[in-house]
Parts: sequence; structure tokens; C-alpha cells
Amino acid sequence: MSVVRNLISVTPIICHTMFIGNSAFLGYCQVLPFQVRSSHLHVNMSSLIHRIVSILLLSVIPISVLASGNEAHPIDFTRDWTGLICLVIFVIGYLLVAGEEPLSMKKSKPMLVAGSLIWVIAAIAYNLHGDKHTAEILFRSNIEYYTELFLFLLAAMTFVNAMSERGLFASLQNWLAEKSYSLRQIYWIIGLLTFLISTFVANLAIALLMVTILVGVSSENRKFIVAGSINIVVAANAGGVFTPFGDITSLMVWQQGLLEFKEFLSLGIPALVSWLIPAIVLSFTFDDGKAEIRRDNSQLREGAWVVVLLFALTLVGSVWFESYLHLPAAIGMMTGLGVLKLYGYRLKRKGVPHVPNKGPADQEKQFDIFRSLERSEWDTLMFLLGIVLSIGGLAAMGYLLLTSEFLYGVLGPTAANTLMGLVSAFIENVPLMFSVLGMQPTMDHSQWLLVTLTASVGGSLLSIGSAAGVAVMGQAQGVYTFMSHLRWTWVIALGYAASIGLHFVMNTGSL
Amino acid sequence: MSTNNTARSLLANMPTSRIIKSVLPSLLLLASPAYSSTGTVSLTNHWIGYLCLAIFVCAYALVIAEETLHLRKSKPMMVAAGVIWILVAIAVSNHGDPELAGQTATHNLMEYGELFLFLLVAMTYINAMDERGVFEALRVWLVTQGFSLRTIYWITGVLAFVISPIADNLTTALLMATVVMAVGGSNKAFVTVACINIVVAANAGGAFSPFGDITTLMVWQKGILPFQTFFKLFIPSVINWLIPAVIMFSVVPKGKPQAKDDSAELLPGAIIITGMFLLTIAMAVSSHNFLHMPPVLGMLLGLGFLKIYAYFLQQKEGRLSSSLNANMAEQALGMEGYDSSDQSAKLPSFNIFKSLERAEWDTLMFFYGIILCVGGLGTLGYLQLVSTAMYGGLGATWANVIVGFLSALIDNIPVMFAVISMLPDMNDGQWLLVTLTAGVGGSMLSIGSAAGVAVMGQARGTYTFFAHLKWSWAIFLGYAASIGAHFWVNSAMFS
Repeated sequence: MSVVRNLISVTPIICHTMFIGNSAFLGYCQVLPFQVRSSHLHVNMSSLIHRIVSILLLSVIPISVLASGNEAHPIDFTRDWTGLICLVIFVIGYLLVAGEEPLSMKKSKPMLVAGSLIWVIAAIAYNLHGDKHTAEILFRSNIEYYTELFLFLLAAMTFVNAMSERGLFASLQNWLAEKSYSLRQIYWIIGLLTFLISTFVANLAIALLMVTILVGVSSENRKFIVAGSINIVVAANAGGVFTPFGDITSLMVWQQGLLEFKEFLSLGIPALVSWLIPAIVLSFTFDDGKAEIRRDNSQLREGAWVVVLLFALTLVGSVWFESYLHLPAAIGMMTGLGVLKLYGYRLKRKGVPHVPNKGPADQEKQFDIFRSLERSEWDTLMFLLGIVLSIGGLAAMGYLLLTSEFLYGVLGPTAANTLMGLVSAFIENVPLMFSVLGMQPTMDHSQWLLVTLTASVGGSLLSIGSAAGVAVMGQAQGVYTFMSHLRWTWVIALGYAASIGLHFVMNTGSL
Repeated sequence: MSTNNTARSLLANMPTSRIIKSVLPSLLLLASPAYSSTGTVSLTNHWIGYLCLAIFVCAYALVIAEETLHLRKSKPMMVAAGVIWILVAIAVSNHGDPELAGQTATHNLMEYGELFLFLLVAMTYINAMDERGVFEALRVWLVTQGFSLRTIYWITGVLAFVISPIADNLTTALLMATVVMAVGGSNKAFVTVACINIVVAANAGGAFSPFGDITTLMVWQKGILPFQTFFKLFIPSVINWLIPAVIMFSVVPKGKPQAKDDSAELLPGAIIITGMFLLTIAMAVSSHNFLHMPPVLGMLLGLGFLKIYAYFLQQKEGRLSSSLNANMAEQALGMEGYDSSDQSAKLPSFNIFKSLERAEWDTLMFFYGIILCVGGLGTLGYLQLVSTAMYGGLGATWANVIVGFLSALIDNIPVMFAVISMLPDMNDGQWLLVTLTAGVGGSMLSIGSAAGVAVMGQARGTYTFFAHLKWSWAIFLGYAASIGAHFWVNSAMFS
């Protein structure tokens, strides 16, 4: 039970969902007419690979749920016809998800059917086996897991929406522009801010915020946006590594009690290097210029700071709920949401008008983060439900045990951990880390640090590798694409290799 | 429209899945030693206990004052839930068991999750049927037939009684109220009586079906009674509706209004979606009865089928009906505070649900608050206390009759949730009795049920609290008679 609660914390959920939602974002990348053709194929292929690879690793999520929550043990149906049918259903469902774009069928649809069908078959299998209770218990633990995710997300998204409605993001952007920095200065400021802020704020959130500002200061200079976007993604991923609060994966390792808080700090220099190498190279790829100042009504509206404060308190509070009260973090988030709503009521009573989220001008729409969130959110939430059910169902049939045994046996720690980084370029790092923690391999501290480093930083190699990258792709529509990121992957790989090397040089002896 | 109690109404009427903590035999299986079968510690005389109670009372006072304050009822409840649980966690861990609070809270969340998903599916289906013009067609058919007022009175009553076991009371009542107002128009006397008739019929119709009423669903989900047992309440429910209906019929004016000129057509897929909804209900029942799984599994499978079907429907219709997809689950349950700019793109139907969309989230969040608050108070031992006082002191029959009166005054969901959490030791007959009273007791006042509140909003100024109160005696007669009928018809179950 505690494992579940540990894993469910502020950032994982957000990032996790963003990951799940990434194909929706991939779709958005094709909005601009030019580039559509070239990027279409590749994005499609990459997302196919991405999805197929993630079949295996995503599947580890509920391991912890199932393993920790209760005493009900799955029966091994992996060689039974029922198990095989479940597997087939899952593969078909996943193929339909992979075919989302050509079929224009939302990905939640096949997944939800697959998830429920798998459970129906699992229930039949257990009943045939004479066990009337285990399936129900396992199913309920899936629902429980999903509910916590769902409520957490709901609260977080409402908060972000409220902040946007109060004009927070628009005014940040204007503030930066009005300082009349040059683009190259802004490039470095944004990168550095991202790196620093992401040490204690979720990568995803900071990346979204920064890319909004980035696009705002120079919407025409495509090279600048590409370089800046990559810069943001790499910085966000690198910055999160060396404190437990900055990155979900680090947080997970920390909460498992595998490493001390201060041990993470020794990853600081490798992380910095993994950002600096690509950042320096990329800073020479665009022409300098002046930032645009947007004259819109982007001043903060009444109550903006209160909302921010409430959000911060809620995030802190939900961590407190978990670590001190041993209550689900979702309850903390929902309480914060309740307070936000009460505050909204107070604003309403004072006669403060509600400004809808549309933005004053139409061109604003294009870069509105939250419109895209809104569009995909239900699809995403339902897809998440389908995934949780599918994987939970397969776990109930005994397949997860099989998979993790396979991974245990084949890979040694160093090779495995370095590979983890490469794999995390293809799939989101949270499920990856879930899987590693679920396996609980015996490794020394430097190996745990290594996997913490690679899982986070490795995600920068491809644009689809991290929640931040996926979100930024959705945001800098059609300019920062899978291909434009791929063009610079070699630089990022240099940074990646350098950081691993540095880690071995610096940290192996001392730990 | 009045948001007061819409939430209650929605929930009171939607089929819901619910598992109650600690009681399901299956859950007992996984209960760790720390999680006793009651999951409580006795802190009722501790200051933290009093504080929690005070918080709950304050929050509920705000809920009651919703109408005057224009403060949505979910807001105070959500905050109260969080605060109560903080206190519970502190209190419980001071008394030795740091894990108990977390486990209980997680269980409460899971209960909520099942309920939520169940409602989501049902709501999506109802919205999809509405979008395909099913309800519109029914309304237009009734309006254009040129029925007399007295015929309409009975038709709407019967339809409300028949539809509400399947769809939720709220939808049913709103739909029928629209018909009554379209036909009755300016005839105030008729509209008032017909609305009361509809409200009573909708509540009575839901009482004997787990899909018709949330409180009935709770009892089913709890595994206390099997699905088919609830139909033993059919005769008492009919009596509960018929007695006031016949009494009020004496004042229904004669007359035959002009047939209205109106037309509506079913969009493609309307019949199939309706059929799929019935199939989904069947799947939910059988996943419970045959697979021993929570009913929500069948509901989710049904939702998946609906979504797939919508996809093919959309492919067939080309891109023309983009509103179809938007309407399913996404727009239907748009997040509160999100602007639904696609609203205007919807079909220009009368769409009774539009006004409800915002209330839906309020309701779901209110539900969250209620479940956690009651769960928290239960963990502190208060439910045990009330249970001992009510069921121990008064005896099951009177306690259950009182539950009916309570549900006329306050939301029947917290009342029922409290009863189920107490899990008093009663025979099946008494469980059916409390199901009945919680379901139909709300008819006695217009604010007592979701249906009543919704119709008050619909027929504003005509069907009011006092108009309803004028006939409360008749409804009370029906209430008493239905209880008597239950004791008579189902006497075998009281042993």
C-alpha cells in the first residue's frame, strides 16, 4: 500500500498523463502546412515504435499496485487459452492505438474496450478456476489506482487553468520581453531558469511555461524557436535529476529510501554538463535579434498571486498528506481544489469578472497551452483508464511476473542502467522507473544514481522521450518537431555520454 | 436553473456503483490485521472527534444554504473532507495505528472511483441518446398527439414511473415536465399537479431498481441484496405513486389543448444506442451476478462499445456530425470552469441537459466530499454511535421509517451512505424497507429529491415548494401505504 502511495505524487501523475497524451500532441505538431509532409511520416513511425516499445514497459505500472496493495495473488494463466486471448486483445487494442492518426480513431476507444474485455476474460478465467474473489480484489485495486490518478490530475489541471485565466502566463511573458533582452540572452536566461526551476518544479510544467514565453518573444524566428525548445527540453530533464523534488523518477528512488537526499546532489555536475554541451552548440544555430513585445491585456488579474500561492500550498500539502499523514496525495490535492473553489466564490462575490480562457486575440489561441490540454484531456483520461485496466488485467493473468523475470535475468546493472537511458528516449521515464523499482535489483548506490541519471537525461535524446519534450512539441506547433529535435540528437547524445562518464569518474570511488 | 440539490438529484437518480468499505466479504479478504472489519477507533469523546463533527456540521450548513449563498455545494464539502481527514489521520496515528487512516481513506477513494465511473458511463449514454434525438422524439410525439389534459396527466405519470427504473429520475422528470409544460402551457393548476405527479412517479419508479436510484444501487453494490430481490419493491412502489396520483387526479382540469405543431426526427443510430444502453445495463448486472466483479466493469465495457460505435457512425456520416463525438463523454462532462465553446455547434435541440452540465461536476465533487466526510466520521466511531442509538434504541422498523423522513429534508445519499456504513444487523425485509423509504421519502417535499429540485427549476414559479407542500399529505398517505404494502407483500422476508 505504501508503495502505491509513494509512487503517486505530484509530478508523476502529470507527466505520466502527458506521456499518455502524447500522440494527441503529436497530432498537433502537424498543424503548420509546410513540414506537414516530411514530419508526418517520421512522427508516425516514431510514435509507432514508441508505442510498441512502451507496451512492454508501461506494463510495469501496476506491478507495484498489485504487489503492494493486498494479499491476493494472481494465478498463472499465461499458458492458458484465456491468457492468450487477453494478450491478443491487448495487442489488437494497442495496434489500433498506434493507428490513431491514419484511422482518426481516438486512442481511448480501443484501449477502453480492450481493458474491459481483458478483465471480463480474466474474471471468467478465475471463475472457471473456482476462485470467485481474487479477480474482484485485483480489479478494485486497479480502480483505486486510477481514481487517485484521476483526482490528482483533475485538481492539478483546474489549478493550471485558473492561473492561466488570471493572466499569469501572459504577463510573465511580457515581463521578459519588456526587459529588451536580445534573443541570445533570452535563450540563455530561459535555459538557465528552466534548469534551475526544474530542480524543484515538475519538468513538464516548467517546460510548458518556458516554451510559451519562448514562442511569445519571437514567433517568427523558426531557428530560434527550435533551438530554444530543445534547450528547454534538455534543461528541464537535466535540472530535475539531482534533487528528489525535480523529477518524478528521482522522487521515486528517494521515496523508496534507496538513496539519501544529499547523494542526489552528487549528480549535479553530470546533469549540468549534459545540458551545457548541447546548449552551447545550439546557441550558435540561430540569428540574434530583438524580442517582440506583445501588447495585449496580459496584466495580472485580481487574485492571480493568490491562486499561485494556493497551488504551491496544495502541492506541498499533498506531499505532506502522503509522507506525514499517510493519506493519499489525491485527497490533499482535492482539498486544495476545494479551497481554490471557495476562493473563486469569494472573487465572484466581490464582482471580479471571470475571463474565459480564450485569450483576447485570435492569434493567441495558437499558443495557448491549455487549449490543447483541454482538447485531449478526456481522451487522455479515458486512455489512461484503458491502460490501467489492460495492464492490470494482464498482470492478473500472470504476464507481468513473466516479463520482469525475463528482464532481471538477462541484464546486468551497468549495462541495464545505461540501456535504460536509451530506452527512456523512446518511452516515458516514469513507467520505466516503475519497472526498475518493481524489479528491485541489488545494486550499489552509484548504480542507483546512474539509473536515476540515465532515466531522466536519456529522455532528452528524442523529442518523444520525455513529458517535457512531448508537451513542447504540442506547444511549438510544427516548428519544434520530432525531426527538428532528431537533427540535434547527436549533440544531446554527446552530453549524455559525457554526463555518464563524469558520473563514473566523480562518484564511483566515493560511494 | 436552481443548482440547489441538482447535484443530489442527479446522483439520487443515476445508477451508481458503490462498494462500501470494510463490509464486502471480498474486501475482508484483503483486510490487513490493522484494518479491522469496522475500520474504526473510538474517538467520539476526543476533542478531535468533536472538532470533526463541528466541521461537518458547518460544511453541511453551507450546503443547505446553497440557494441563498449561491455557493455550490461541492465547495464546502471538499474542503471539509480534507480537513476532517487531516484530523482523523492525526488522531488515529496518535492512537497507535498510523496505517489505518490511509487505508480507510484509500478505500473511500476507491468507492468514489467506482461510483464516479459508473455515473460517467450512464451519463454519457443518456447524453448520447439525447444527442441522437431520442428524448426529443418522445417529447414531440407526446405533444403533437392532441391528448387531453387528463390523458397527458396519466401518460406522463406512467412514463415517468416506467422510464425512471432505467434512466435516472432526474432525466425522466425533466423530460416529462417539458411535455407537461408544452401541453399545459398557461394552465397553472394543471402544470402544478402534473409536476407533482411526475416527481412522485419518478422517485417511486427508481426505488425498486438499482439502475433507477443511487440509494438502491448502494444497497445492491454493497452486496446486501441480490439484484432481483429489489423487484419485490415493485408493488409498494406502484402504490406509493398511485395513491397521490389518484387523489390529485380529482383536481386535474378537463380540456383538450390544441395539438402542437412540432417535429423531430431520430438521428441515425438512435435506436442502436438505446439498445446498447440496455445491453450495457445487462452487462453490468451480469458482471456482478455471474462474474462476481463490480458492475462498473460491465458499464465500462459498454462505454467502450459506445465509443467504438460512435466512431463508425461518424465515419459513415462523414465529418458532418462532429457534434456526435464531442457530445460523448467529453462535452457531456466538460470540466467545471472550462468554457465549452463548442456548445453553439451543437444541434439546436431543446437539450434539457445543457443546463445540467455544470451541475454534474458539482454533484460529482459533492459526492466526493460526502463520501470522505462520512468515511472520516465513521473512522472516528460516530456512525457506530448513531447506529446504536437509532437501530438499537428505536428498532429497525422505526429507524428505517425515519430514514424516509430524513431523506425528505436532507440529501438521501449521505443518509443512505451512513446507514450502509453502520451496517446495522437487519434482515432482508428491513434492508428493502430502508431502500424503499430512502427512495420515495424524498417525494414528500419538493426539495427532498433531485427530481423535485430539477422540476422546480424547470417550471419556475408554477411548481414551487409550497405548491408541492399543499399535496404533501397525499404523498404521505402513499408513503405510509407503501410501507404497509411492503410489510404485507414481503412479510416472508422479515424473518
